[in-house]
Amino acid sequence: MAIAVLRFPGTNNEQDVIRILNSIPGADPYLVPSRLGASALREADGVVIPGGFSYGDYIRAGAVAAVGEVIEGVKSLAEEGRPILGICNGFQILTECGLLPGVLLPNNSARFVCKWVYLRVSEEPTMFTDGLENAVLRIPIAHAEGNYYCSPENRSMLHAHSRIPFRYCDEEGNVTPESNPNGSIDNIAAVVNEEGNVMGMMPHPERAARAALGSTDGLPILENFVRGTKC
Amino acid sequence: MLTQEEIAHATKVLGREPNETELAMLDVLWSEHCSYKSSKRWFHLFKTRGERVYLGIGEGAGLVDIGDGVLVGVAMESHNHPSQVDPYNGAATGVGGIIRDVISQGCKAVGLMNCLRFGHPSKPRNAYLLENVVRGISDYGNSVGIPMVGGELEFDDSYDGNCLVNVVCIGVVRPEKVVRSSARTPGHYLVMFGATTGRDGIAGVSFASETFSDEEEENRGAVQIGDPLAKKVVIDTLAQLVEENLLDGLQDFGGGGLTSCAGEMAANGGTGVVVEVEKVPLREPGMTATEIVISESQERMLAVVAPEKLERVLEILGENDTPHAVIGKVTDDGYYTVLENGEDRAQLPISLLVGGFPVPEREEGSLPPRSHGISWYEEPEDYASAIIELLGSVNIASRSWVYSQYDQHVQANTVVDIGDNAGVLEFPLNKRLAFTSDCNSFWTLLDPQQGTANSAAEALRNLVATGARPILIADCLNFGNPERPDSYAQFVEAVRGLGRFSHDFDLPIVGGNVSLYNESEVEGVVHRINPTPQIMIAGIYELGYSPIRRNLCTPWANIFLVGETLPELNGTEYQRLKLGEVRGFPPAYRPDAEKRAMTAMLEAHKAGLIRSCNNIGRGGLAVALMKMALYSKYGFKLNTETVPGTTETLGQALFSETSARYLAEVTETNQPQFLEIMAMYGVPVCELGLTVADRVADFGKFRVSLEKAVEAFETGLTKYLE
Amino acid sequence: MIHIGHGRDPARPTLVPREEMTVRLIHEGKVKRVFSDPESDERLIVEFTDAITAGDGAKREVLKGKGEVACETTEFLFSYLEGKGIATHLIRRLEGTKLLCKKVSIFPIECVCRNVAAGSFARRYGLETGRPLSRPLVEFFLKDDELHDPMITMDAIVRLGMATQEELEFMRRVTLDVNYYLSELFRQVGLRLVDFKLEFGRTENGEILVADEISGDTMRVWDENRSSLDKDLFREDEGDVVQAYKRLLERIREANPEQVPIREETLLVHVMPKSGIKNPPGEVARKALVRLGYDEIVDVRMGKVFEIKVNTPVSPRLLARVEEMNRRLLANPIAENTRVRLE
Repeated sequence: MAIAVLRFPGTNNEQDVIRILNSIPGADPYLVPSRLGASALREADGVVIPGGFSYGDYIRAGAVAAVGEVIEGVKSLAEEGRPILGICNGFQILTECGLLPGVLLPNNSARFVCKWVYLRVSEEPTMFTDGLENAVLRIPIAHAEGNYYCSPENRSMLHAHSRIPFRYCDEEGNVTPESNPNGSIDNIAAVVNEEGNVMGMMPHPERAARAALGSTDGLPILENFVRGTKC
Repeated sequence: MLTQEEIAHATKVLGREPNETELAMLDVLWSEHCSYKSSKRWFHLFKTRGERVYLGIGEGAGLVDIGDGVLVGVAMESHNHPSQVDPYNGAATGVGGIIRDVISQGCKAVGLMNCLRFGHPSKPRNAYLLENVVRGISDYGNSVGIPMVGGELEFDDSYDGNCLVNVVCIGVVRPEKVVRSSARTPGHYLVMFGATTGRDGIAGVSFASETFSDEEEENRGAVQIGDPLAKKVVIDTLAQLVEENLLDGLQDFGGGGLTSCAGEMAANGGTGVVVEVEKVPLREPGMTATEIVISESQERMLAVVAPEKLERVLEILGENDTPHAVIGKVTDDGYYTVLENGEDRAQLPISLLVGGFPVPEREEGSLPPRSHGISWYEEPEDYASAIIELLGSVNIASRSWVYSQYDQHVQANTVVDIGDNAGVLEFPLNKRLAFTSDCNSFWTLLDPQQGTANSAAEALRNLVATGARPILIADCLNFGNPERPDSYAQFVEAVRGLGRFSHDFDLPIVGGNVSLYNESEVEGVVHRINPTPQIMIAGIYELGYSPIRRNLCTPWANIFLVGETLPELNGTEYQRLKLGEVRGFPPAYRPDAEKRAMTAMLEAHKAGLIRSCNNIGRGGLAVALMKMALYSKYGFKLNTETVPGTTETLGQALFSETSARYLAEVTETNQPQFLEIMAMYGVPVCELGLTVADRVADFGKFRVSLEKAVEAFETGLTKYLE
Repeated sequence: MIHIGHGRDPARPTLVPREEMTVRLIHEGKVKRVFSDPESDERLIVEFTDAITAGDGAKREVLKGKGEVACETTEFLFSYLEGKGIATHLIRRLEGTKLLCKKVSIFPIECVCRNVAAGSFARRYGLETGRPLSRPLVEFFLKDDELHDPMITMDAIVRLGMATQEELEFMRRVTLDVNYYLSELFRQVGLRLVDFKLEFGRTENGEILVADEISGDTMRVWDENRSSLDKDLFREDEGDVVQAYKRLLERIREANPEQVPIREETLLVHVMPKSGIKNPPGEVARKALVRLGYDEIVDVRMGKVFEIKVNTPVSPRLLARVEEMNRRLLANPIAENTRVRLE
């Protein structure tokens, strides 16, 4: 179960992700520099697209990475049902290349925001949130373009088909406007595709996966992802 | 600008007049920023050596051994003048520059800090500078993936025309991977990589060594533009080169461009260099040899490579798609030779170029004496609103608007975020280090020596409050025009203060920077910044120790005041708010009391006796205590009005900023042992009161509404920004 | 042989021997005729007659050989322009005086480009004929004989629904491109392109092509002695027009098209957030401006401009490729609109 961890020029969370995956038994992560192209992903059982500033976030966050040849490999794997996890810039890339609906716009404050947030896990299970239904997780965010937006049709469809695994909430788990750090519609912090094997999330689970860092709430998400790659 | 004296000296040494290129090279290397010609003569006052110092001041970063083959590297720099003109790019390239200093030593960059000074934010120009400096630092630091772990922000009218941007970079390296910035072996190649060369910042360093003219537009040409994406590529490329031990020497292109970079490496190695400018990859066509050697285009590195390793180096550089070229060689002739298509453009002895300037005369003037009297002091009628006013002061209020724009968690090693007493990073082998930076420019204005030493002590107190033992110092000394005796006196006194501190506490100063000429002339009147010696101290924790935080965290625990309080109201934030200025003699530096308090606190921490802790600094005891309660789940109730020391009123006790004091939350069971430790070191201590389960701030004689306090604290700064 | 016959009967079977297919006259102009192409709905046949007119048809003559040289000149110059990347309606020459062309619906607009003051322009402003203009000037005229082809502004064309702003900017830009490539070619052989007129047409799938003709009838060309090799000779009764047209073509043929370098062109792509989509950077800019005291500000929206330099003249193909660039990279279609500006 080799998990490919992508790195574009400007990606800066790949080592953090690899380090945490290495602590999960059976994960077997390997680094794939984007210049190696789609063929480097052929043997992968799953893909993580980590956070950072691929191509400097120039034009739009994730826009240039999304048209890279390696993304064709990600799309093939997605089609085969392999788990794909996009974190922060990875989420942006997944929407730009069409694997997930919607777009991540600049935060309402038009500024970068880094803080610890609480996430309400959806009631309906997804591969990534198995065992976490309705939980409240404490995970940090760090982004300038995390303001999720999609068309009204997509919005209804996401709710109707239970495709929103995480929403920003307060400490008690209430999804409120005050707990929304960036203006995302419906406090959406993550979205999955129709088949449920591709998830994009703005918060950083790998930064809440060790006790020393103050929270391990992100670890089960990554463990679920790794488990998903073993099937 | 070279002085007549300097040109005459160069002519004499060369035996001929220097040509245009040589003059440009001397101009940059003999600028204050590169040569330290006004300041160097005082550095002998610093303690710079120590058992653990692996590499002291002199190269890119200072390296300190923290055991088991782990070296921590620190570098600190200023980028004041560029930020005043173009705050976004000036601050961004400041961050870029300091990162380069650390990685050029072979380190991996693992943390950043930034210390900022502006005029009062109620003036739109200052708010603009603040917003754009923060955005520049944020965009750059976040992009390259290095977490921000600390910093400082202070406001005063004296910074109106001269904002200050000081940056710190923290790195880590194994001793066998350290790369020195020297060109040791003649015949080795000079290989530059990272970015192409353009006309950015031509003569930026000599710009930094002059005061501002009224015409700010004139100053605009000297600013550089950073490129964090290119920097990330440099970081990754360098990691590969260092890992494979391919580099004999390395230095980044900072102030003074190719001239200072290659020149300093040759000086360190006792060799010479020859540079062929036509080989330098250019961004703009038609650059002259002069422009090429003094350009300050960002993100460039210069490596010294042995011939047998050259092929592999070029291969890695090509793979990483970074602009690169072999541009010259190390020689044994002791000269810096510039060639253009084989023709001589410059030939300067290294000994003249680097440090060969005639030492300028500087006169240390005298500073005004200060009074210890507090006849101006009046007891407040309403203690609660005085405290709330302090919490809402721009120099105390919450800075979360600023630091929430910085990525604090990238690299997943951040144990304590910004916002507490120190930022804490995890290093290899579970070692943990704390970082903090301080300078109270009001104390240093009133007495540069005392104020500097006490500012350093403030940084030390911040670390000790979390349970860390200080191990190293880095500094950035920001002062006015050294050619004016009173400004120069401020500088020299500050150096004396920091020197004393470093010896008193046996802490080596391993990195630093001097920024002079921070003065501006507006309509004929000279405005000079407060003396601002920014001091960064790093501390280390015992293995496995969890840093102690500031928020009260246990109900029904005791709150202890450690240390005695003197009626030192001069130079305090209270005085500044009441009088609109500071005057008198600032809170004194008291090394003996400070040392005893530190030792006692660290022992108490080690024994696990302290649940939460805060040091007492700007604003005094009241502010320090309030800060422990603002974001806690708990409150407090004090049951005493008198404290150890010589204060005469409640207000004096609450607002004095006497040094060597802490507030500690200690549970009842730990109380006896805690008091025993304090007694052992002769540290005065008294129980102020208890923590309570309700959200109240009860001082006994009066209460402060926590709701109002939080609001004042949270809007004190942001009300000028939104 | 071409028969002028009936329109094709839809009831008749589509496979018809060529000799029996009829060609329809679609349009009879002052000097040219346009026929349908029996073999394709997407093509036309343009025939150049020997007629020559001036003053909106007031003056008319028939000069033997004029149709052929005008046809040949048009074929040569359109092929040359195609070779440089400019899209025209020319497919190929048929016999003698006929060109096979793509079917377009012609815009009722003449695009005139001037390098030197002459003709109606000189008269209009009382200028000396021959006065050079500092930069090429493009003017538009309505094609309407009854109204004597009045000059018309870009705005009026758009208001009257004859073309959109984008289409007009395109035509204007292509006219300037044509001016560059023709001027450079003529300069090689000592000829000066004083002014010329273009007409454009739109294909069914919306591509805009240079249509009609380029010949002595539609441009003013002077030799080294400032002698006209164009219809001015007819207007002023100053010489053998057909001879001059032939001489013009001969000299043009001596030039070397390869030596005319492709010039770089710049176009702008404006990317703006869609209305109704929140635009935080614009919102923050608005608040900051108001805070600075500019209380007249109602709204600010922030977008981006891409300045794109290409090494090909402007053409429908280039525009289509820029549309692709927009869709694939430069803009996010969910949240942003794009507008290409060809100033």
